[in-house]
Amino acid sequence: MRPFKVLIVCGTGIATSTMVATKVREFLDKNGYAAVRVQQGKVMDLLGSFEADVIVATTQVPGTVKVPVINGIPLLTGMGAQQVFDELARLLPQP
Amino acid sequence: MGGFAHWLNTSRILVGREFATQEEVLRALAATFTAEEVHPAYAEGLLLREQNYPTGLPTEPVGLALPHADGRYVKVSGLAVSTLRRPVVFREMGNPEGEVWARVVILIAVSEERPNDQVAVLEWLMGLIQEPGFLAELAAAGTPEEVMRRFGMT
Repeated sequence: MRPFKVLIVCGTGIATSTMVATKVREFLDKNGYAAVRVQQGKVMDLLGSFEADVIVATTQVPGTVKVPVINGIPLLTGMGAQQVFDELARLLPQP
Repeated sequence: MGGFAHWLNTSRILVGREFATQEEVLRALAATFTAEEVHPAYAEGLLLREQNYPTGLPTEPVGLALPHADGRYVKVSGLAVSTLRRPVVFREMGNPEGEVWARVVILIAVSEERPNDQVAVLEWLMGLIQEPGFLAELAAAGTPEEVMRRFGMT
């Protein structure tokens, strides 16, 4: 079975997505989601073909995207981070 | 640890200023960089980037914005800060419908030769804004030296 994939996107694929990806990986490790893959990218990648089951974004995502999108900004600022993890956990397969 | 405080200097800190628009803030901050530090088109790059990828963050107790242009406009990495007497509206990062009334604006200029610095400086700033009182004290600072101290620079 293909592993469940979380795609983290920001404007350039460098800065905020790296910070958010680190936080998401920590959350997954701590909660036993060993099989979930985390990948990073830039928002323009979403205009082409991409593979993801859920997207965590720090920037606006094109309306053509059909998978669930979670706003990852609280993981940058630390304010409201738990809600983001709760929302993500609801979409993840059972660990 | 001073982190990236050495990227700041008092000539790039504007305290308690009054600006009518976001563009005025961005242009004033861009103008604190010298021709040796940024390219002539830096301010335009900054405005364009903010339009495409807004940087307002709904922090408490005061709103924050972290504008930055593409690294190709930057020759020498640095930071510039403005605290605002009256908040100026920015669009929210990651949420096109959201608005942030910023009282603190921190401009991040990272040269494209050092892309890893972009992540490191952002992590440092996010650590600072999560310190209790940091943003409120920054917004209330009366002099550039006070701002420098709050960033850990003595």
